Amino acid sequence: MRKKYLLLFLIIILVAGKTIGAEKPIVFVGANLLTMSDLGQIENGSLKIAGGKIIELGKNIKISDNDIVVDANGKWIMPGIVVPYTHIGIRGDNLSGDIDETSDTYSPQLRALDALYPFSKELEAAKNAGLTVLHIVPGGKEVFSGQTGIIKPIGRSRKEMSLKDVCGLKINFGEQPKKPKGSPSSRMGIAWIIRKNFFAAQNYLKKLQKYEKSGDEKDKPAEDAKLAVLSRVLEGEIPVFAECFRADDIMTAIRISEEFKFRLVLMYATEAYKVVDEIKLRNIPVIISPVRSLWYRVERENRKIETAGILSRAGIKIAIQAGGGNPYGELDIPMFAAYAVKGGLDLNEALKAITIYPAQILGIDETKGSIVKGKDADLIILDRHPFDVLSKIENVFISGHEVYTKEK
Amino acid sequence: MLNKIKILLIVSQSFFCCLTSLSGSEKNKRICILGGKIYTVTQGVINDGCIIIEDSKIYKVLQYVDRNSLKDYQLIEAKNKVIIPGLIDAHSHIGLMTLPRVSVNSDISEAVDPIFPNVKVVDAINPKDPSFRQAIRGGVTTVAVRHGSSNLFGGLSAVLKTGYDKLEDMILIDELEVKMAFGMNPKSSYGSRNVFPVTRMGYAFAVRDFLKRTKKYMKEWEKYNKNPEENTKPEKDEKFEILQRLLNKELSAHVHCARADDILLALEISEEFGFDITLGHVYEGYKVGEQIAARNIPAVFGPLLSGWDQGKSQIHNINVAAELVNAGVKVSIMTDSPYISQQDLLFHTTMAVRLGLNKDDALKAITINPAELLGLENRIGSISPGKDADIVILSGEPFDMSTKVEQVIIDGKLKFSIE
Repeated sequence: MRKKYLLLFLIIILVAGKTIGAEKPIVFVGANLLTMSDLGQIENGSLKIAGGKIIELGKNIKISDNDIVVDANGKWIMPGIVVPYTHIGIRGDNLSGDIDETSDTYSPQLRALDALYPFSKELEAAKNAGLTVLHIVPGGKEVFSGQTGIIKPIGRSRKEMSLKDVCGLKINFGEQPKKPKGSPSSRMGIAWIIRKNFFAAQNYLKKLQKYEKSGDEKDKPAEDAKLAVLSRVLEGEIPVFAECFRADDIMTAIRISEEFKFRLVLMYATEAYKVVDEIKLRNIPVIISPVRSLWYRVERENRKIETAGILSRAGIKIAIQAGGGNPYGELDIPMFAAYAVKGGLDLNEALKAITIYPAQILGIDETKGSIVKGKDADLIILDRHPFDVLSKIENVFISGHEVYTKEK
Repeated sequence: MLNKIKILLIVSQSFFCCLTSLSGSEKNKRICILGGKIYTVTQGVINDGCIIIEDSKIYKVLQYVDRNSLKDYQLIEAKNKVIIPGLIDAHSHIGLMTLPRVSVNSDISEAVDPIFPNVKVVDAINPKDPSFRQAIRGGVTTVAVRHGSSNLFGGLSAVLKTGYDKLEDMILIDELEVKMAFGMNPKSSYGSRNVFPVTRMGYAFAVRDFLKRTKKYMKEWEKYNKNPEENTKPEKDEKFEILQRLLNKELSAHVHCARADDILLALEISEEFGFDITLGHVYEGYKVGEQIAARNIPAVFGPLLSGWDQGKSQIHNINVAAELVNAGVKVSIMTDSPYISQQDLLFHTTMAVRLGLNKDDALKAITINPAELLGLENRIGSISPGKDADIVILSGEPFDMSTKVEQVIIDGKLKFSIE
């Protein structure tokens, strides 16, 4: 018992100490700053953070007596990595997952963050790997699998960790939601389930508008948790994250998004290179996984290492993610971006594809994704360029707090 | 095997005649790869070197050559490039699971009997599997193809060169070894049908029992052969015939084993019955590295690089490859293709380097170590005079993330060029 109190006391001192430390501005001096902004890479640059925010950066910045100066000579500093989608935190560290509510293929009312396990070892590992923002999405076995949310990987509850309780709605196409002995059993069925429910949502919205005008109780539509979510999509409040692999599934997602006029983000989009012009024409962002998955599906067959580069050169906004079943785990995202560089993606675009671009796609770029004055001080300090195979992360900061320090 | 060599001779002769008739000057023209940093693997690194290829073999590896003396050579410019030997994948199922991997294309395991060593992978390899093209693009010039891991004793493995259209041209060894498997796969393969063996107790018994019966079979034949007139002739049994070759050390066994206890079981049984083994997967090999090294048994590690603990993948990576190397085990790295595409073997090994494997050991793990494991160290696995001219030209250092495979030469012929 006594030991427990002693431990608690120590923790309080530690936490308090860090908070007090964070009050004082910190200035990193002499680092290579990968800003991900128009400033590009600043060699021998300095960076000042205070109160959880980035205060100043550049070649020469003023240092006052009050500042804690950190020699970062030869180090590389980049913004925290923004993970464009993952199941980490809701899959029970691969032991007892909660990613698919397979009982109903039409489950838009569910929220991924309700399944968040804050004490996940994978979340801890993600934090240590510099993944400071994670877009948590439900699985792909249902047509409508639920609403996505955004978290930072520190905290003891959903409330403490959540950056956005609801970010978008996930809809799945292709092989996964098909059920051999159930509904839907074909791609036709998938499209119909999506359209049928959006028709219902259109009616629901009309009734709601009528009720708002008349205020008459008999005009009020029956409460429907599912249609309420779909209405938010139709009203443009949240986008649809469409998981699709084959080019025809990509086109189906695009066709339905145009029919119901909702915002679309493509996930995986393995065969996106076959319909580059269609995607570019509508400026649809694409989240891709360059590395091949260990989990084989025929619809993933045509994966190409070149896809990220092809889309990027066409002017399409891309974000890079590990992808489910990645043989190298899902934490080492800089290496997967570097792999895309091997396939022809521009190096600077690859850096942006794991930081500022996903932040823009998720709508959190006002505070996350780049080293810009006024943004959150989510930072990674490395001993080498992040794409160097021998690079190691030395420190990770989230909102100015050092949350990871490499053991010497 | 002899037949195979004859066929190869005839094929190469006819090809040679064909060339002569095409153009006289092409005949006997040597190829010279000029410039570049050569990782010979066995004889260090040569900067600004030169490799001379004659017919299908490496003729000479030189430090620097005056360009003017090379008029009669077909030149391949490799200035500022990096040159490594053709890569060898010591464990894969390429050709047995033709892409796309739908069930009709799967011929990886004859999972009808846990003891079924009498099948051969060469009878199921599809030389038109698109994976072979991917392998060449990835710089993989030689592959070991193995039966799956459903059976305790599976069929005979083969070794192929990737750069040919016809299976008979590809085959280097058609009966390399017997495949064995311990652990999860045979357990789940038969356990799911509730057919023996369901547990590790079950398969340890089954393997020992069958090897004992093989010994008995061998004795009966020995007795008969000594005195055919007085003894009745025993019946021929194909399974015993194959395992007899194992116990006579004409064939070795490659054992699929991931958990430490399965690795130890493989070491134990092979010692007990006196046959040679190599190990595959070895995810918990880091726990028993010294025991593996003490027996001088080579291991093929992968395809998951992060290792296991008590049969589970780890969130925090374990540096298995380096720990095995440090314990003194000769380590090769596998793709287990099609699980990882051979196009990614270099990237795959780079990820092992990221986990802490030394770069020199990493290069050995995909060149000379698998060559030795397959018994082909005199033919492939390094850039040395007399060996097959299997050469890969890279855009940069082998384990840089951005490096691309630019040209691939197999048996002296250009099989892939990035342009």
